[in-house]
This record gives sequence, C-alpha cells and structure tokens, in this order.
Amino acid sequence: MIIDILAGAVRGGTSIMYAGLGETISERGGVINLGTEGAMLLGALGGYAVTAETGNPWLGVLGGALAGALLSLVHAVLVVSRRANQFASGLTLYFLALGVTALFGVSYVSQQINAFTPVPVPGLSEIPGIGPILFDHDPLVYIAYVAAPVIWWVLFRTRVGLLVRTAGERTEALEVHGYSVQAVRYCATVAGGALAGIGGAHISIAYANSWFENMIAGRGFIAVALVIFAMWNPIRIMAGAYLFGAALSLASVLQTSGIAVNQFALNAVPFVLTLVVLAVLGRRTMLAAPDELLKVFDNSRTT
Amino acid sequence: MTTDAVARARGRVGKPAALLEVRSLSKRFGEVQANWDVDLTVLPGTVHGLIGENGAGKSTLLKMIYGVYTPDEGRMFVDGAPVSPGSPADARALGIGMVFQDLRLVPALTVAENIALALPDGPTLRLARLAARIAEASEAYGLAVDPSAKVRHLSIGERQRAEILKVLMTGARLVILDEPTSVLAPQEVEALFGVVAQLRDQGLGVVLVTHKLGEVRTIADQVTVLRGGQVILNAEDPGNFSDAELVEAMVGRRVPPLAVERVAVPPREQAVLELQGATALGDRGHVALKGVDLEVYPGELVGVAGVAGSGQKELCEVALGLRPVTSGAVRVGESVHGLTGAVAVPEDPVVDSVVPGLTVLEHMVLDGRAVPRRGLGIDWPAVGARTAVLDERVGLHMAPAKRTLSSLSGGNIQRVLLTRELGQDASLVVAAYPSRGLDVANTRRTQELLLEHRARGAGVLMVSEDLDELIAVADRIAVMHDGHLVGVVDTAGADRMSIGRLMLGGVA
Ligand SMILES: Nc1ncnc2c1ncn2[C@@H]1O[C@H](COP(=O)(O)OP(=O)(O)OP(=O)(O)O)[C@@H](O)[C@H]1O
Ligand SMILES: [Mg+2]
Repeated sequence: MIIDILAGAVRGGTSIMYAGLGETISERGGVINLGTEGAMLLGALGGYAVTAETGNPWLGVLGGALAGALLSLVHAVLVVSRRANQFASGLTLYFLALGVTALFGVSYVSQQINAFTPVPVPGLSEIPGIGPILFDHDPLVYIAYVAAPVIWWVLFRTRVGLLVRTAGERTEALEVHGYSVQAVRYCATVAGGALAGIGGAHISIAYANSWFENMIAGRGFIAVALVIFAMWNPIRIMAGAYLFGAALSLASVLQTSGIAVNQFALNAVPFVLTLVVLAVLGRRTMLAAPDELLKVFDNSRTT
Repeated sequence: MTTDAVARARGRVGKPAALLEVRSLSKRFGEVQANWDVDLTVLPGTVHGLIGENGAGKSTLLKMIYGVYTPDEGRMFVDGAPVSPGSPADARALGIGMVFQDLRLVPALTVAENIALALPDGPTLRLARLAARIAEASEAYGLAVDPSAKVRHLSIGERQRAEILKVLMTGARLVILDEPTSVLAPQEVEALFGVVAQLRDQGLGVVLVTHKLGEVRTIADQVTVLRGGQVILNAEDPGNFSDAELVEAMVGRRVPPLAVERVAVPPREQAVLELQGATALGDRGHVALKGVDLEVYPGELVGVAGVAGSGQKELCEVALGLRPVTSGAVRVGESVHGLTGAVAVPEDPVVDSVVPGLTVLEHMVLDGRAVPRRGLGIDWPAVGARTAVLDERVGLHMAPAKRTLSSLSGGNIQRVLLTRELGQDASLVVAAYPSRGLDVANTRRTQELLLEHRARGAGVLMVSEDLDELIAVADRIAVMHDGHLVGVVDTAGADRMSIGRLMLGGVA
C-alpha cells in the first residue's frame, strides 16, 4: 500500500509540479498569477479537445500549453501593460476560465480519447519498490523529472534566467542595462501559463482520462501556495509537488483498499496540509520573495 | 593617418583630445530650466569635480551625458566626434559609465550575476570564467570584491566598489560618480579616493559630484560649479580659490561660519529619551538593534555615527515608538521646559514621508497638527499663509508650494520635510541624516535649526554619516556597529580617525 501511495504521489503531483514550475518562473519575473488554476482548466480542456479531435495526445499537450499560455497572455496584458492589480486580474481570469471551460467542455464530457498510457522504463521499472514508484508512468511524468532541474538551470545559470530574476528583484537595474522590463515579464508570465496548461492537460489526458467541469479542483491554487513554501526554487517545487500528490492519492488508495474514511474529509487533506505548512513557515518564506513581486511595475519611475 | 593628422582633424593640435566635451547643453522640465547653456570638458587622466547647490542641475547634466535624458539643445563630443546618446546603452558603447547615487545593483543577486547583467556575453552565465575575469579586473583597478557574495550582504562601500568595477568592466573610459561619498565612513572615502586616483593615473576621466569642498581639494584636478542650471566656474583649478570663494560661487552670496556656542553641559535632569537594553528586529526579521543603552538629556545634542545599516534606522524608530522593542525599555520624558512631543526626519524620506503625487503645500498638513478649516474642508489659503511664515522663519527656502514632490530633486525634497518638522517646537528631535543631499548653505541652516532646538531645551538625537558634521554640532557622539552601541565619545577632543575605527568594528 505504501508503494501505491508513493506511486500515486508521483502521478498526482505531476500536474501540481508543472503549474508550480510555471508560477515560479512568472513570480521570479515579478508577476503573481492567481489565474494559474484557470490556466490549468483551459489546459485540461484544450488538451482533451485536441486529443479527441486528432487522436494524438502529444498534440493534446501542445494544445493544453497554448490554452494556458493564452490565458496568461491576457493576464500579462492587464498587469504588465495596463498595470492592473495582479490579484484582481488573476482571480477574475480564473472565474472566466471556469465558466468558459464549463460551457465549451459540455460536448466532451464522457467522450472517449486516445489517452496517454503508462510506459514502464525497461529495466528500471523492474527494480522492486523504486521501479513501480518512479518508472511505471506516463511520459509527462518522466518529462517532469527533467523539467525541474532544467528550469532551475535556466533560471540560475543562463542570461535569460538572470533577466527574469532581475525583473522580479529590481526593475531599474534591468532598464539601466537597456532591457525592457515589460518584454521580460510578458515572456515569464506566458511561459508560466504554458507550463500550467501542460499541468492541466496531464490531468485530463494522462491522469483522469476524461473531462468534467472544474476538474482541476484547486490544484492550481495549491501550486501557487507551493511556490511560496518552495521559496521560488524549482527543485523544492519538485519535492513539494510530490508531497501534495501523496495527500491527493491517499484518498483513492484508501478507498480501493476498502478502508472507510469520509470522502469529503479526504478531499480536504491537501488544503489542510497547505494551511498547516503556511502556519508553520509563517513569514519566514517571504524573506526569500523577489523584491518587486508585490509591486506592479510602474513605468513612470524613470529617475 | 599620422598622429598629427588625427590631431589636426580634431582641430586641437598640442592639447590632449578631450574625452568628453559638452557644448551649450540646455534642458527644461516644465517651468524649471534645469540646465542652461552648460559647457563641460573632461580630459583623460583627470578628476573633474562638479559642485553646486541642491537643484543646481548636476544630476540633470550627468543624466544627459549618460543618455537618460535628451538635451533640448546643445552638442556633445566624445574623443572629438559628435555623439548623441539616446539611452544608457548608447552611452556605455561610447565608453561612458555612471554610478548612480542609489546604485543600480540587485541586492538578491551575487556580485558576479550583477556584473553579468552588464556584460552581454553568450546565452549561459559561465560563472567560473566570469569570476576569474572579475578577479583580474579587481586586481587591475585595486577594487577588492568577492564575486560570489550576495550584494545584500555587502556594506555600502563594498557595493559601491562592485558597481564601479561593473562600470569599468563594460569598458568605461569616463566614469561618472554622482555623490558617491555621502554614504561612506571616512576610511571608506579614503579607499574610494585611492581607487579614483588610480583610475586617473591609468588615463581614465572621472567626474565626481560632491557637496564637500574638502573632497574637491583632496581629489579633483579641475572643478566646475553650477548654479541655477548655469556654469559659474568652468574647469578651474580648485587650488586657485579659497573655500569662501567656492561657496560664494555655489550659493551666490557669502555664508558665515557656523556659530556653535558650547554651552556648559546642562544639569542632568530627567532625560528626554532613555533607552535601556533596547533590542529590536529589522525589516528582514534579523536582530538589528542589540541591547542599546542611551540617554538624551534636555539641552543636549547627541550624535549617532555608524556605517549605513548598523542599526541607526531602528534606533530612531524605537526612540519614536515606531518600532517595538523585543526586550529592554524605552522612556520618553513627558515635557521639558514647557516643550512637548517629538518631531522627526526619517532616514529615507522618499519612502517614509513623501507622497510623490502631492504638492509641497499638501505635505505641510500631513504632520498631524491641527489644520485651519473652512467648513468640513481644509482652508488652503490659510495653510498657504501659515506655510509662507514657516518657510520664512525656518529659512530653508522650499520649492514653490504648487510643485509636486515627485518633480523635486533629492535635496529639495529634504528641505520640504526639514521645514515642516524642524519648524515646530518639540521636546525630542530625532533627525536621521538631516543634511543628506543638502548643499553647503542649507546644511549650515539645518545645523543651526538643530542647535536652536537644543538651545530651547529640547533633546536632539541626530544620525549622520558625516563625522565632521557630528563633531561640529554634537555634545556627545554615540557610535554604532552591527546593532551595538560600541561607544559614546565626548565631542570635545574627539578624533575622527578613532571614531571611524569604532564605526568599522575596531577598537578606538
Ligand atoms: N524629472 C524631472 N521633472 C521635473 N523637474 C525636474 C526633474 N529632474 C530634475 N528636475 C528639476 O531640475 C532642477 C535640477 O535638478 P537636479 O536633480 O539636476 O539637481 P542637482 O544639482 O542634482 O541637485 P541635488 O544636489 O539636490 O541632487 C531641480 O529644480 C529639479 O527640481
Ligand atoms: Mg543630484
């Protein structure tokens, strides 16, 4: 049963990890996107619809990424160009995405698709314990293993990453070297949305293999909270995502093994966990926050 | 082309070609003529001092040279060739580098990462190679910095060195330093001037803005004085002028020396301010003030010296009740000599006291005192009249009442706050860096105002990074280092070098 829970943690944590990595990029650049949940919903429906129409789940992943990117592009226009309030914009876009996906998703409810199936890694999946936990999953899970260190490397070891971090720390320093803060923030926000979209697509075309209304069920918000616990570090995002994955998989594993626990109580576990972690870490995590994060970039400050 | 031909083509046979030549530059902001017909010539291998009152147009001139502002009129030449930098990037390509007073480093990044930002060099950072290049440049220019240290953990002096190194590594041949010394301890100023002298010896040109004549005499080969946006003295040898003459050039009139009558230490009655083992946290959650014991008595001016960020800000805020102590006690005397209440000048007025979009007049009613009313509203004509009287009495000559604070220079913002705060009576006066960014005449007037408060019987706590200023006006100087009060020195017979050593954590 432990192995079932851990394997479920990896599978269930993957979508949160993609969204958390995306939100890390966006917030490192100085933009908080509470619309992450919405980007995941659009990604889930986009991924499902494209897979249903083309029969190819890889195109579905692409569709999910584009759908998430599109929503975040709207967020970027509002908060970077129009300098609207980041929280208001993010929440509004979430509700918009909730409505839009409910409306356009109706025809896909209970439609069958050619979903991703687990691809055991030859050899590695035979290892007792480790094998079933880590190496008997769909391809998006394996890509996620690589995505976290790659994104860490991009953020901390490349020029593009340096520009993103500077946009989130001190905009004057970016401007004085001739870069556009707005351009950097657009890129970071849209890239973050694309990753959230992939996370959403993972739920619909690899995890649940179906589409239904509000199927993300708060994972996007958990991802936003996770970014704070992880102190804006992609490697910690990976660890944290699997922790929440474990909380999510607990419910289904207990159910299949016949232990009677109230379903609603189990669904609440990840959120209670979030509150506990927030309470324990308190303001400590905020000390690691990028300095510009809570300010909306103000272009009129030229001196 | 032979060297001669090059020189002739530039039309200046015999003279070294100017690194930078500025001709008839003018710049207007709305109704303010910030620069008018300004000429400036910087030769290679020289340090050029640029001095002038607050609002004289020094920063405006430098920002035009650095491509931040576009001049309304005038021309610029680098190595004799006409140029018109449209952005800081253009200016850097021409070999011009600028160190802004508030620096442009990212505190959360390492020194190497900050320098990488300025050196476009491939898509990956290759930090090891960069660290080697930084070490090499550190060596060449005598600027010691640790490439892997986070800027947040560096002292102000170290940050400045990192910024200068960054500017030099981008290939600057003309280095502009806007008021670099106003935040440094005396030892750090000496170290900075050592670097500046070395740059000069290597043939670079340096423009240095300062409000301190002593610094001009120490380091500058030539001095240019701006007043009201116009050049008053152009590239003169500072040795040919007395201090009084330079001050007169800056201010337009004579400024008599500060008269400090050293009243005998007043009888120590009830303290106005008493800290006992005061310990408090800083904004980032670290212990910023560590068990400080300090008393300020009526009729006494206590100076606080220390390198920036040694706990001065927290000390002031604790004294004013703006920051809770985690242990220890703070007592403020109710009233002395009929005076009550406290007034304060914050360390960072722009963050703590200024509403950028409001006018000077509107700031005059933001101090919590009763405001003249008309019905439910504020009686603005009455406020205007009251403010005019105040401005006259205080004598710091604030900017016109209708200007918004966001359009004022740093020194002019400071004058608005000083007028409002020091213009009223109080039993406790807490002033953090009151003369920061002020020119000679206004610095003098501010010191007089603090001494007037002392003479009326108030207790004055004054933080300053200028030891000469503290020695001139304070009765006692409390020295802070890393949150501790490391010593209280009687000003009579105080020696600036030993205070400087205390500031840097050494033993006097
Ligand atoms: N962006 C701006 N908009 C409007 N007015 C400005 C602006 N920048 C400067 N000024 C005005 O131009 C004048 C010159 O300002 P500047 O900052 O160049 O002075 P400064 O000599 O550097 O003074 P300080 O010693 O106080 O730094 C001042 O009257 C200032 O209020
Ligand atoms: Mg200035």
